[in-house]
Amino acid sequence: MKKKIFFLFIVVLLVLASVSSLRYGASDNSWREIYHALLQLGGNNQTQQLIYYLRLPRTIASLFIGAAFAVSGALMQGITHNPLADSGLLGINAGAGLGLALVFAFTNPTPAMTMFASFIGAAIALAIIYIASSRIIFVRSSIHMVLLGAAIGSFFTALSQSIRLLFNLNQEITFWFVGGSANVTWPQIQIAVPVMTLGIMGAWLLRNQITLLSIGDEAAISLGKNPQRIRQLSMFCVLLLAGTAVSLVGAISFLGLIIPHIVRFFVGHDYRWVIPATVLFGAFFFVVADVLSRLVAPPLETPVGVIVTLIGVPLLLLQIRKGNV
Amino acid sequence: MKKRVWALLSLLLIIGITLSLSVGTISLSVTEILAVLTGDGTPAQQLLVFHFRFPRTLIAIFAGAGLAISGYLFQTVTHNDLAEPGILSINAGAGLTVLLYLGFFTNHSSNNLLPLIACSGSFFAAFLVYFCGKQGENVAMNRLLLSGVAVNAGISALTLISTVNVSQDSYRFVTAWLSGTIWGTTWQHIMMILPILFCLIPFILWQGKSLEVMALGDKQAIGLGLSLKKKQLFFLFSAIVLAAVSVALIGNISFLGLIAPHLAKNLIHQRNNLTLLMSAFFGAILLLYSDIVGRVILSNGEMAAGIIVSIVGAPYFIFRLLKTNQGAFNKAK
Repeated sequence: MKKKIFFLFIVVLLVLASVSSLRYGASDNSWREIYHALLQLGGNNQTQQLIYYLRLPRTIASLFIGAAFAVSGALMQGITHNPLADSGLLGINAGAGLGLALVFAFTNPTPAMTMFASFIGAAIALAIIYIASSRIIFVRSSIHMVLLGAAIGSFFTALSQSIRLLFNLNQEITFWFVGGSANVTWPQIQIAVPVMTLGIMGAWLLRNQITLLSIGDEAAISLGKNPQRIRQLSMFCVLLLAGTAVSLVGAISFLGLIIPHIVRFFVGHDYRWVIPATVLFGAFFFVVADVLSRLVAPPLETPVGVIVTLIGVPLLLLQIRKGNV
Repeated sequence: MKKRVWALLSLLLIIGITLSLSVGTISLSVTEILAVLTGDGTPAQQLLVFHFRFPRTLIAIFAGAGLAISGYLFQTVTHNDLAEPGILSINAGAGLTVLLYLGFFTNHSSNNLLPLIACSGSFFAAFLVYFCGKQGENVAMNRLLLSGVAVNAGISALTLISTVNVSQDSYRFVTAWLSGTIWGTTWQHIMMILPILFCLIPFILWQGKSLEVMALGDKQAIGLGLSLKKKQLFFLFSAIVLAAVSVALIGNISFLGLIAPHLAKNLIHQRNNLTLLMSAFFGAILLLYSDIVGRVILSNGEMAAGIIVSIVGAPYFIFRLLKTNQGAFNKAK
């Protein structure tokens, strides 16, 4: 019963947040204008153009990006027994950033190419984490895992910074490094949304197995499942989700860390509920952060990644202080 | 054997200084540098060497040494090989207050208050890391490192957000600072860092015996009659101050405080004042060469020294992480 109320509540909030995301920004529009613009997509008047070409793709992207980061965090936390798993903290975002910097350095990329490049980068970082996670010491200590991730992250960041400087890329990807969804366009969405949907569906299909894994490998084995296989499939979903999201919006940390923790507080530890709740709550959270990023210091945009971090860090510090991690 | 190491280090330092004076957008040959040093160069060369390159070289040396000593102190006091000012967010704290100060209160980057401002930020960050990391009486080092990573992320975000309201110039300065460009390159900047180094380092060396005892372990140190708490406080205080003033002038450079002491400890197995001094030497040399490499790689501008240090330092950090942990785990078993 409590779960149903939570889901209902979150859906209502999500709709409200999405609509506000269409309305508020550097130029303020009335509800009536938004309504008409939505009825007549791609119309000729200025507001309609604004909504169609800037706000709508941005809102759609934010919804999916928030869901993608949150679900990838939940998946990683489930399969590694690591309460600190997050694509930002473990250096996967930085890996994707390196791929992106490389593709911008040598080509004039299409949206599909940038996405593929950040996949490859994320895959490399994820492979390192995957190899490390089989070492006994990392299985035992989630803190060591985060330290490893931090080191991988700063290594990849340093490499991509040097590529930016060597090839003079500042203009092209600065927006990306601070994290922002302002530049999302329809062609990007056409590629990214199907991929992220695929990742979320994968997570949904894996939900029961992940619950088993979070109880322990023995539970999975005794039911005839192969833990290693489940991990690999989940990692692939993480790759689809985090890689795509990073290629769209840049390095957003802490979203994947905090959302699953908040969600578990409401729906418990069963991934049958955790996965859908994370999708909805992640999407809601990121859309709100994105709206905030426009409203903090208008007409300038505060990088949304910064806002998410500023919300996430105190929560993490609180957890550390309480000794939960 | 040891003498040879010291000779080699001095040689490296001298070569580094020469390279640092000669390499850049306008490069000078060794004979030209000698001419300048004896006062025979052209006015342009004189200006270039004395006004730009020489102070920059000195800053790289002093700040590198400062960070290395800071790292050495942190590692000895906390008995953790992975401790260093960068990961404990001492650097980030200094950076934030320096940026706020330069961005909002004054435009004079050669202000005498700068070291003090940097220290205030560092102490704040250190306190936050300590407060979040400790669990009652029990201070687990790895938890401190984790809370360092978190505080680091938070402070970097605050730094970025505070640049939204500053001018274009300050923004450029912030991004350069964050990637670790040596920016404090005037004689005034040297005068800011030098007195602090000259006061603190002899004092630390004078207390070297107690540091040596501490390296044996907390229980042994107390058993040998050391007032542990007091000494710990002194060394941590010095470590934070050294890191803060260095970082205030050279930007956010991580991993240097990790690598330099490790190199020294590998060469000298007893932990004494010589190890400390050798760490300082390594720190100075590493930063000096990173700065030079940064200038050489990019012909049209420069690559921040911090980036170069990270590219070398991060893999080393990973290596240590894998190695020390495996050892600790085997011991625990």
